[in-house]
Amino acid sequence: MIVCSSKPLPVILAALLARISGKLPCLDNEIRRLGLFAQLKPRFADKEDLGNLLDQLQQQQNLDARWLYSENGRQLARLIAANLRYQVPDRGPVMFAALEEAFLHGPSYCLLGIGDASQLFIARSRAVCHEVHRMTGFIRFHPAPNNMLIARPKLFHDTGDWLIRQLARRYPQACLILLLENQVLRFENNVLSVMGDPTPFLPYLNNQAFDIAWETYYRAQYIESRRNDRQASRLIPKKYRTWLNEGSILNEIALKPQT
Amino acid sequence: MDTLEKLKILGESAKYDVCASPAPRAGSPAADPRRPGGVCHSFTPDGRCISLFKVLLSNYCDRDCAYCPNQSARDMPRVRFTAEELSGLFMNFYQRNYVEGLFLSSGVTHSTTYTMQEMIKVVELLRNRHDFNGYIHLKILPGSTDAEISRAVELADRISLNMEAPTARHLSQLSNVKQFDLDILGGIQKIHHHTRLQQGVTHSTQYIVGAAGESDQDILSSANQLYHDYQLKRAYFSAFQPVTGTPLAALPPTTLLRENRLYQSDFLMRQYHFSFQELVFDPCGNLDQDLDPKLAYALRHPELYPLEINRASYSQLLRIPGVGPRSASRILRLRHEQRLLDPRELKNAGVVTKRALAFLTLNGRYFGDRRLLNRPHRDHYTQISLWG
Repeated sequence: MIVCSSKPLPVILAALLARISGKLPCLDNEIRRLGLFAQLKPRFADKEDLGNLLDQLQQQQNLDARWLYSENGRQLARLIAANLRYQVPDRGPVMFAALEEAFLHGPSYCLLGIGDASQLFIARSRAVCHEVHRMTGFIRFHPAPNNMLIARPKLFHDTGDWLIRQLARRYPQACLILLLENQVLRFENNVLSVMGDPTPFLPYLNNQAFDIAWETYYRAQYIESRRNDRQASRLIPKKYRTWLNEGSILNEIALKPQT
Repeated sequence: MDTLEKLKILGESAKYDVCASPAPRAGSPAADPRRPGGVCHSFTPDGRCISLFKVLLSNYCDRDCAYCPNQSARDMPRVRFTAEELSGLFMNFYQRNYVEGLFLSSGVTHSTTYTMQEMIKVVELLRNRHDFNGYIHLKILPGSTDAEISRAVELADRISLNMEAPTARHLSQLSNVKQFDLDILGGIQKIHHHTRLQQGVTHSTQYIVGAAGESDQDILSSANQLYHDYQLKRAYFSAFQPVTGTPLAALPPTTLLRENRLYQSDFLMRQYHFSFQELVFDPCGNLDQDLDPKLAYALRHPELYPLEINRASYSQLLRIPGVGPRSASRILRLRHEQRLLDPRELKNAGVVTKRALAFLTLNGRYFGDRRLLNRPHRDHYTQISLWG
């Protein structure tokens, strides 16, 4: 059993070590959470030397993975970082299987999602990035004193900090507050901090006046003769409809018969 | 009338104008490469992206355009925003992250010059008073002067002047006031002149499809000419929808499928290395409604296929139905490391194998149905449905 922490480089080291030794790799937090293999003494991959492992891989299995030092390696690390934020129980197995494909078939086979495991690996990293991208547009801010902008995003993956940094580029002068399910993120002057209590910010979320202006505008933009329910539900999935203002309008229109 | 009521009327009046998601000018703060492009802040029930605050400054109009819901003779409530009112409203939307930028057009009130100056005033307020550095798409009214266009180019990220119809003959059926050569082509020529001097500013145009009896060939030929002669960035196509109270109210609406085929052909010319002459039209000059333009091209040229996926050039890959620019690039990148052997690998690379397999070989093996190449018949091809 090979264990690593949930960071890109340790994951790569664990995958290399697993390939060389033939043992099973696993993420540290997953093995603890599941309580599996408690009797086994795991080997920690975090402090292994990358160059040394690459030499061993070359000598023992004639596989060249020196591309890990190139842009391909950096891209792989970014994809692993995204996969680590994907909220699902089998994060580790999919990542390690995708890395195995990369070592066997070359980096492009994995990075382009050609292999089956790689495809899932890429799809998950896309889902995480897509959540940040989508939320960058969908999130609605409520202004508050001291140049604060407060919002409550709808997140399905662990993307709160990525999202707030993304939004900070749009509002460089403002203090951004994101109210997540179990914590509050605050970003001001390029510093991210985590707070526990959302209570002081809640009153600002109750200002409905501008929501009405938006709904008025949204309804005005709809062209009934172009109605396309399938496209609309692909672009605004049902899981967002109770959270978005216009979700109720979409639901209302979907109930009407198509003319 | 309160602002909310004006917003309803003037938002509704602008909804037929087509625009893309923001592409800010190079060098502006909005063009920060770390910021994602194409952010959509919502989608309408018809699937169109809302990323810009799309609104008219005024729907008072003294023009007689037969297709237009704002035409002068139509009985409807007429309102206008003041420049201060509109810029303040927009900044409220922008600050709350409802929109990414502004798309501003207007009916012609008093004169073209007066209206253009009012529109420019709104943009000046945003740029100078509100320090808004984001994306602005400003419509140029037909007949605008050189000075007005020059100022608009200085302030906006994209400007556009609507062609509406591909030729003077077709335009004369839609409007007695607009002069094709002077107001439309002359305007686009001026825009081209000024945008060439202003880095990062682009211009686009829009056609009304099906209102003047024009063919697809007429429209695409006109768009193709604008791309080449005036470095037009995008041409948009808007299927004609009859509006009650206008002279064309009795005309049947244009199908959305026709609009879609025009966009597909436009993409073939702009992104798939197709020339206008290669597009396949029927004897009336229209595109095939049953087959997408690339599939129609492939069926017209069976001698070019099947192509070997491990040897074909980028341009050749783009001519395979089911292969787009992204999947073609992936195939090229993958070929540096290994040969493609399995249709499943092709599918994972983003190729629509259901359509592509008939037109390619994988390492010498043909996985499609050869009858489709030897005796092509449209019934053998299933089109992806756009409307479920």
